[in-house]
Amino acid sequence: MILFASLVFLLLLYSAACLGGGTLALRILTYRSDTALKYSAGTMLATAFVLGQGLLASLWLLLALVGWFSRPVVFGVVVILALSGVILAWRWIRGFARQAALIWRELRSDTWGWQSLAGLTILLCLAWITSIGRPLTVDASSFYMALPKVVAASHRLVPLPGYEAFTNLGLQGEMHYAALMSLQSPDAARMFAWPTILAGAVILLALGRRVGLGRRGQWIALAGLFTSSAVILLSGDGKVDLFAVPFGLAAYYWVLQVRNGPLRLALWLTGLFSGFAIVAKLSYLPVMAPGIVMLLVWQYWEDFRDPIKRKQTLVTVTTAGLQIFVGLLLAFTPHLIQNGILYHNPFSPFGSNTMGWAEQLWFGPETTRRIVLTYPLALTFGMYWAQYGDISPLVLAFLPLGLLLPRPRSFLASPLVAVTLAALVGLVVYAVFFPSVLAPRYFLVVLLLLILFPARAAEFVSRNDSKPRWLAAGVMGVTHIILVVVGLYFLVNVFYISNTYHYLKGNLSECERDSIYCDAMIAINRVAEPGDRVFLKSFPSYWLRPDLIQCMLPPSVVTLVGMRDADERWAYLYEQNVSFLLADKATHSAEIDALDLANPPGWLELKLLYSNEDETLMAFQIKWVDPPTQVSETCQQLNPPAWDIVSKK
Amino acid sequence: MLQPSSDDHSLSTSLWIKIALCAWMGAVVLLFIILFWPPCLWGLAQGLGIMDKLQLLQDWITPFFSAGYLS
Repeated sequence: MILFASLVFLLLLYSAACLGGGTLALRILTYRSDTALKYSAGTMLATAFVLGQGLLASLWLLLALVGWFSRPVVFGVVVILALSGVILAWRWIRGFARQAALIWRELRSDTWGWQSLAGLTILLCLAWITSIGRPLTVDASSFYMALPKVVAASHRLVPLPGYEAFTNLGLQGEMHYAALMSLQSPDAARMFAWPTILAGAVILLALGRRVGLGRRGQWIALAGLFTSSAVILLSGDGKVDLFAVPFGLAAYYWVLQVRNGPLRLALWLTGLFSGFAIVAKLSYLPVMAPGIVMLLVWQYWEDFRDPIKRKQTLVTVTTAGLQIFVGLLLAFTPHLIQNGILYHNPFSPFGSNTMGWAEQLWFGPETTRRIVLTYPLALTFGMYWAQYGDISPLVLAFLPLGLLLPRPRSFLASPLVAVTLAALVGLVVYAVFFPSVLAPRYFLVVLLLLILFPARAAEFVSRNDSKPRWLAAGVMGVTHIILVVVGLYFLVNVFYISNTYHYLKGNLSECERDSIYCDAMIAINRVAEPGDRVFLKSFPSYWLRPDLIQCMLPPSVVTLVGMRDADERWAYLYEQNVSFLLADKATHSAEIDALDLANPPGWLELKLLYSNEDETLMAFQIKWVDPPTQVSETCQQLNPPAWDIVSKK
Repeated sequence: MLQPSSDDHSLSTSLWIKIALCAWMGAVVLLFIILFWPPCLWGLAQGLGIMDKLQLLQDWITPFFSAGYLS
């Protein structure tokens, strides 16, 4: 249980550091205007935490770019910010505790049905801790967790071997992983998605309150969030898509405060959160931009219609828009510096030849047409290739209840209508530009905003249904069924209770939990000398030692198939100073077959270090006996602790 | 100024509309259960004697909501 205690401690410490960074920034933004921070304690805590996340990741990024991302630096910054967080945000922490006690009292006075609904929702939220027992996804072990491992070990950021064209993306999630790995806890890194989604949940509920949701509506919205498989699947899988969500939600929340709250703070926060969201997930750019602009203009629409105020309003909105843009640019700056240094193009991938991700085609015309024509259904029940989850079925189930909602005094004055339309605009823009890429994680923020309208409708029905109260009973029954079915469904996919228990007890090793790739790479780690080169013919690399990842000959560098014969291919590997081969026939069969592993040339010996049962994954040590050529590259520690490839020519 | 509307409205709607909305909610839940039947409850489905029918329905409906890469 020491592992569990250290994991929880580190998560709390690191979360407090994020809170500290955000609180300090909020103090600066509201200098000489203390009234600006008089929001609900929960909202301010979540805002400060999420803002701190964005700022801290940016700081880590800049430190890593100059090679100062060492453990003492990371530890020092985390401890100082954590202490600041606890001291400066103590008022909010106490306020949040009082808020929680109030919610508890309210819940106790509600019916047993709502109590059990809230209980199941909380249970589903707590289940995220059991994702420690979940294996890493291939994407995570190939890039999202492998890059942070290298950054933590080398104290610097350079493109990950094999993913040189991919490291130009925003690294908001990855830099948090790197910091937690630097503090010796890859498990805490994986689990950092949990406090992240909790902050996102609080902001979603604050948005709900802003658009008119009562307590019951907030519980339904929370149930909608935690029964969305697109959210659940990002629990502890090592991917980073979730990190953009709280930023996006916070941007929508704060743009709605422009006319209600402190204007300057709201504009800065809208800009910063929009920027962080887009850095964290570039696909949010076309999805969020129209909605944020729309919500800003919407709030001034009444003034626009007044001919006397029109000119002044135009100036006000333009100035507000510019201030949001400055905030966005500020959040973007570390990312621009990253790409300026690593790729000599601050706007990469724009203007570079690595825009392939923007031209993705996942399905043919017929399937694409089917997806687009059945969008709400595809987003609820879809199991398309690489879709990776859906939105909660509660959204679709409660959507028609919206017909029963009372007509607002004016549609223009209804924040619920405004937010829902802003989300729909984002959804439509995505569907138009990327019709064949059905991936809810690419536009998750607008999907979560769409929970609010049905939640409001369900709440209204539950409060106002007249006898026979079938609709109120239906809302209660449907929510309960979905909570139970979703919870049970993910017991074997995401929430690994038994694995988590055994892993935390020390009875389950990392490799037993993760995959056979781990076994194969650990076998190489055991015998490899520091700076040895591995020829990686597989996508995952995470379990290799950090020096081996930095020194490896990645699969993308060379096409062995194009060479004359096996002798020439092996000679090339010798020139590259390769000492190990990891062969994954499931994904790289053509090139592995080209090496003719059964009949290698006489001037080398292959020693099998690992093989799975069906011999689709094998690890070899290569012993060069009398090679016909010279070594042209070595891997050396020119700037310890980092490793670099050095040409001998 | 964006202001949420209050909840002080009574909801009086016809029985048929209530039936239709309940049917819709039921249909969504049913479809969800068929498609995402929890693996740990297959034993229960067998015990209730609905496993074959459930499997059949799942096999029939799944193609409407799934497709492979580049299909």
